[in-house]
Amino acid sequence: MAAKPQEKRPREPRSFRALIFSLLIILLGFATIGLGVCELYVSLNLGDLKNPEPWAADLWALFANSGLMLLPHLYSIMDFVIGSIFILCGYLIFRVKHMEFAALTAFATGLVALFVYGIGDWWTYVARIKYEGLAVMYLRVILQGAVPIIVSALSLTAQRQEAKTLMGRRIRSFWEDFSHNKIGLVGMAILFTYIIAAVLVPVLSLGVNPEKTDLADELVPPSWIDFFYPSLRDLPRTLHQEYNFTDYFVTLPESIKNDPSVTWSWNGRSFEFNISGLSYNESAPFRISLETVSDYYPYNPPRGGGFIIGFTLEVDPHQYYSPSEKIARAFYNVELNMTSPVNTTNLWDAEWYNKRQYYYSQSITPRQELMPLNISSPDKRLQKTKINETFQLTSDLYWSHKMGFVNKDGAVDWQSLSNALFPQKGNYSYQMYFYINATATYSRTTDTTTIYPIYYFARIKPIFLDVKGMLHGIMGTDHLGRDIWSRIVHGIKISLAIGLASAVASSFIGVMVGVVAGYLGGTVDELMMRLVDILLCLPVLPLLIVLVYMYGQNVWYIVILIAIFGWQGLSRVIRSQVLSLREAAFVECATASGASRTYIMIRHLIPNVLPIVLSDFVLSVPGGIMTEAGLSFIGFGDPTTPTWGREFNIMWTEGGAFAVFAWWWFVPPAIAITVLCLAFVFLGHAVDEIVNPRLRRRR
Amino acid sequence: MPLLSIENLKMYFYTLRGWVRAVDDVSLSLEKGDSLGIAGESGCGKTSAILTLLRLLPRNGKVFGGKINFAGKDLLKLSDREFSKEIRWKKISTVFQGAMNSLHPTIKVGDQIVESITIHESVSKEEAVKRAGKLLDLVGIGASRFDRYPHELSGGMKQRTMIAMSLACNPELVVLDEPTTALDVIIAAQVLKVIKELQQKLNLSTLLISHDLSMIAETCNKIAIMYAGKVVEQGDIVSVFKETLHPYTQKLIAAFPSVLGRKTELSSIHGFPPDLLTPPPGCRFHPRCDYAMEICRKEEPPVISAGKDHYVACWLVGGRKE
Amino acid sequence: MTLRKYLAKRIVVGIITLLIVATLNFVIFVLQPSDPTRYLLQPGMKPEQKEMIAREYGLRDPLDVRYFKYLRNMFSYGLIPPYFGISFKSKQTVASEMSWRMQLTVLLLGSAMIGRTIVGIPAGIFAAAKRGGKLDVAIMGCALLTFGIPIFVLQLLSIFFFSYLANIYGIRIFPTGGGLGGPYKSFWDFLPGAAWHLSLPILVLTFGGFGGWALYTRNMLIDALTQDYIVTARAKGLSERTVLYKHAFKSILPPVATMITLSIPGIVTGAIITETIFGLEGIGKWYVESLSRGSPNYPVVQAVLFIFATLTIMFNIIADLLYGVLDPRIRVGARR
Repeated sequence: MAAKPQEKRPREPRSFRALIFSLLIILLGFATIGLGVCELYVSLNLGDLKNPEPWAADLWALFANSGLMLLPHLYSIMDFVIGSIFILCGYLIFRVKHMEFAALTAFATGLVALFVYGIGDWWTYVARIKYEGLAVMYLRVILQGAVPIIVSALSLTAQRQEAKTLMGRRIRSFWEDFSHNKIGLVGMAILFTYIIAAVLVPVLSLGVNPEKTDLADELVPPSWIDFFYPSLRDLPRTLHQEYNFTDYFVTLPESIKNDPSVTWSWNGRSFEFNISGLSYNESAPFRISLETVSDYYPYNPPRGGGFIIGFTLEVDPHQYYSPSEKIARAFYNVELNMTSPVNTTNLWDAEWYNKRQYYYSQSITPRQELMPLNISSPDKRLQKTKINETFQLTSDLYWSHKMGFVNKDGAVDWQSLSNALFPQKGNYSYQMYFYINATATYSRTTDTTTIYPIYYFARIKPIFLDVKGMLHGIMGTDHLGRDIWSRIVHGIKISLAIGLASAVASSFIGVMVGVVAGYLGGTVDELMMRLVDILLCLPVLPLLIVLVYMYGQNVWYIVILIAIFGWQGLSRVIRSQVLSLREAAFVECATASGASRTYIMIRHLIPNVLPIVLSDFVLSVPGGIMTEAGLSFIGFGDPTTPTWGREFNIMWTEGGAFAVFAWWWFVPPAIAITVLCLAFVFLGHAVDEIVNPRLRRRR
Repeated sequence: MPLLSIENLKMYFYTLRGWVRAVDDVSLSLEKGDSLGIAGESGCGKTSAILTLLRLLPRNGKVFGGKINFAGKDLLKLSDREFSKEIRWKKISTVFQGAMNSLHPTIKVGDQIVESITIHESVSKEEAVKRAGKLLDLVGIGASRFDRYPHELSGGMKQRTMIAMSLACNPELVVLDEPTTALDVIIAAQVLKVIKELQQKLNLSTLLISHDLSMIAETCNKIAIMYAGKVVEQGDIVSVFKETLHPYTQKLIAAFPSVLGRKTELSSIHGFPPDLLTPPPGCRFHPRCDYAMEICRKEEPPVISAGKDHYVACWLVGGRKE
Repeated sequence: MTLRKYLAKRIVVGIITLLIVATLNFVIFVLQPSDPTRYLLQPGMKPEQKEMIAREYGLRDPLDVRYFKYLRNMFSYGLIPPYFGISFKSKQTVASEMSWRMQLTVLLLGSAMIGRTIVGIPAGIFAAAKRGGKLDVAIMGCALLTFGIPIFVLQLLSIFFFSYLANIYGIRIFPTGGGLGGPYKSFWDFLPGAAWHLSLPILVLTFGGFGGWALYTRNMLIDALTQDYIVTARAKGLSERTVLYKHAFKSILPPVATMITLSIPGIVTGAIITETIFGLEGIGKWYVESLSRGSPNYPVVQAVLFIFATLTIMFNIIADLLYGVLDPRIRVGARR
């Protein structure tokens, strides 16, 4: 690495491979810039996404669906920068000038793009708009990440075979050593697996939103364990069945049998009943009977409380107001029977429902609004009594009391209830009776009895059965019924990002401080080294805790803090290395030939300390991951990001994973974080062996 | 009967790329009171041969045959235990190259000498300390430096300490492995002087390894020239220097400046020493030899006697004899 | 530079560092947007009462007075009044509360340190002695593994399997938690209970942390074994054991001792996580608890952080001195 000769060197011959690769990179660069222009234009027309130009929205959706998401507004600068770097690098490779440097730059840029679009936090910005169905920007990852990485790496090999520059030789010898290092290769393989997994998060998580609750019952094990325990094969899985009405008949009083104002219909999704008109005048109640299809229920009884039988009712009933009782009443009643393969059970009865309706009216109707009750036209109906509600069986204590599923402590015995309702697999069907008393002339206490015009509307939606699974997915569920697998998979992305970002930042600071302090010396050196001394003597973890506690719990803030406390060791090593390099002949040569300090630092010193930086960098990645996980674990992490540390925190503090031995919640993040950290430890060990000749096998 | 005779010693190193024939069919002999110098380029197997003799081979070194007779015993047949107990340091001691690093940095030099006495002889501590002091006096350091750490001594002093340590148990043979590397000329001369004095005073047999022919010429009365794991020429120092037979020896001597002789252009030997993984067939020197003949490329030259106490392995000489 | 001068310099830097930590600590709690005294002032109090309590705690003094009082408080290490101040929560002096918690922490970490040394250093030596053998591979594998597992994961795992799972099957070797509340009358009073409750954490700390030490010892020793003076020692006829334990180990003793000393601060601050997981009432758990409520119990936080900083600085200086003492080549100087 001597000083550059002054005379112009003849241009090196360019290989066909290098030509192809350089053209490819230039092409990618122009494509990226084109994309940038396009997205700038589109995003300006998108406005704030609330009322976009229709063509822009269409275009945006088109690109989004093709995996080449157009970045919004300012983010499109990213494309211009990346595109220009590619063009520049491609040109340099084309001219066979600083070729390794250009190839490495393109390589690094590709890595950054891969990181940002594939595993960074960027796409969640987009994902927040619409979570499901939106993939990661695959095309972007491939075009701006994977392809440049591969092409630039290949162009480096192409160059190596002809012009053997020092850097090329170094890279080659490093790679040769590395490819014989088993531990290093294992680490590399694991790391690549993780990176690919991080890019493929939306696919791997099977499109399950990690924050969506009640996907199954709480703390249920993964579904594949029935393979090992065949007795569990019939445990219920998450199930939603709708029982449509197939048969219905209405028993009307004789007097109104032929009244045209009474109509009813089943339209496939709901049963509708309607009385509208003045001619109706009948005080006797009548009944609508509805019969559902029978549907096969394939599992054992669900966990007690882990099921819902319900139906949705919309009633806009005829009102009656009793001034003395000061309540409004609307008359309807529901009775529901369930026919299991064993017997028929009465789930709701009319008597009880009547009671419920009473409370209902009382609770929601303010008296003052009811006073000017003068219902002369249908428009003046009391809107408030309109019911649109889903009734659920499990939430009704009344019913279980009535059926006797209450144990001696007075608590509802949900499991017995569940066992009684779902005794075995088989066909289940429901019968519903809907009672209507559309009389308008009922009053016990007032003298004036008025007949009002009749209006009555009821809509009954199909009966549904929701069973929360007792086995779920790949990794079961947590205490809120969230999908653990999806949460773990999302953790890959964020953990990698945290580890790499903190390591990059701390390495950068470390190199800068070390090189500047070592090369400039004097006061600068003294000041910087005293700063290093002080920082080295700080109790890092307690300080991190206090700082995170006080100033915001945000992942990127934590990353910055980790980086701030993580560069001192590296800078000391670098400084001592630079101190000896400073005296080396090639540096003196460069100084003598008039090279500037900056040039010497960038061209000579930094490349020569890079091997040390590399090993330190690799080993500080797991440090960052572990520190963040530890902070999150004791509750000082980012509460909005699903990191593995936070997962441990949740299961430890509120999840109760330990009491029920929920290994499916505990073991996966433990393995995930351990294997990821191990990958870096292996890599670091290997790099250290190569870079640090003291550890090489001698003789 | 010679004090030490090495016969057909073969020692190869195992590497990932194959067996490296570091010492191949080496025979040497040394009478009591003699001093033998072994010369050759770096990597020719000098040090490997000595390490084999001292049983200090690294794990990948393996002896494939030959005999090392020392005072009537075949050293290769002794167990490690017997060797440590009977031969090491008591009979054969060593002064290693690299004076800087051969002493333990955090143990006092006197203690290191005392240690080498006490492990071999059942003497009291005081006795051993006294003897160590005497030894330090003998090599000209002085017993007053008993309590110094190695880093407090100069390079020459360290090497002299090493020599003192090698004499701790009154050995019959002292092996000096490039004792003056890393020393400047004056200090080296002092050390050599010490060695020569001791040779005379104690009637020591020494085995000196060096690539410096002039040093061997000064301190030894016999010389063996090694090339690529083989001894190409050996004999009395005078006859080897005066009647040089092997082309390699000739070139080696020509590559050294003569203080007294005419000012001549120093010649160097073109080419590089062969890769001992796959040594060239026939004579190993033939790719660099100016007189290489057809037979040199095919068959290995036998060792033949070329006068009193002068042996050489070269087809040129053999051809002349026939 | 003489030893004394060097030591003086280190101590000055140490005190400056302490001052920085203390100031940071002060500034953080003064600048905090919410009122740090919410703990103290109950919502039902009258304003006069609030004012009185605030005065009593010196919260209404001007900032500079508070700062110097605070510094005096910190640098007296709780030995003179006001004994690190009054804990908002328990209304006792922080120093008195700290003393019994400190006992537990010291017992826990001291045992763990000894355990690690006993396991880690010999493991490294054996691995280096049998380099390339099965033992070496096994120890290296374990060491790399413990290097890669975050310590809290290992601790959780151990609780998970040895406490909860074992309890499910009716095996009660290790406690599931609780039962070791303070304060204690004397050290000997709580030792028997502590021994049972600390057994699992100590084991985990020992085996979870030995990897780094074993690896470091091994690498240093392997490096030492290739040195020329080892060849000399062998040639002298020393037995392989003497070579390994006396010569080779003696030459790596300074860096190994330094490593152990330097890792003490990390282990001490690691107590925060360990004690939280195992529910041990040491100063680490106390620190976290004082922070994790809605309003911080800041006299405690400040005092504990200051103690942590002091320990870190102290052991850094000790490490430097130790290297000088053990290695005659470097009477004073840097450890790297």
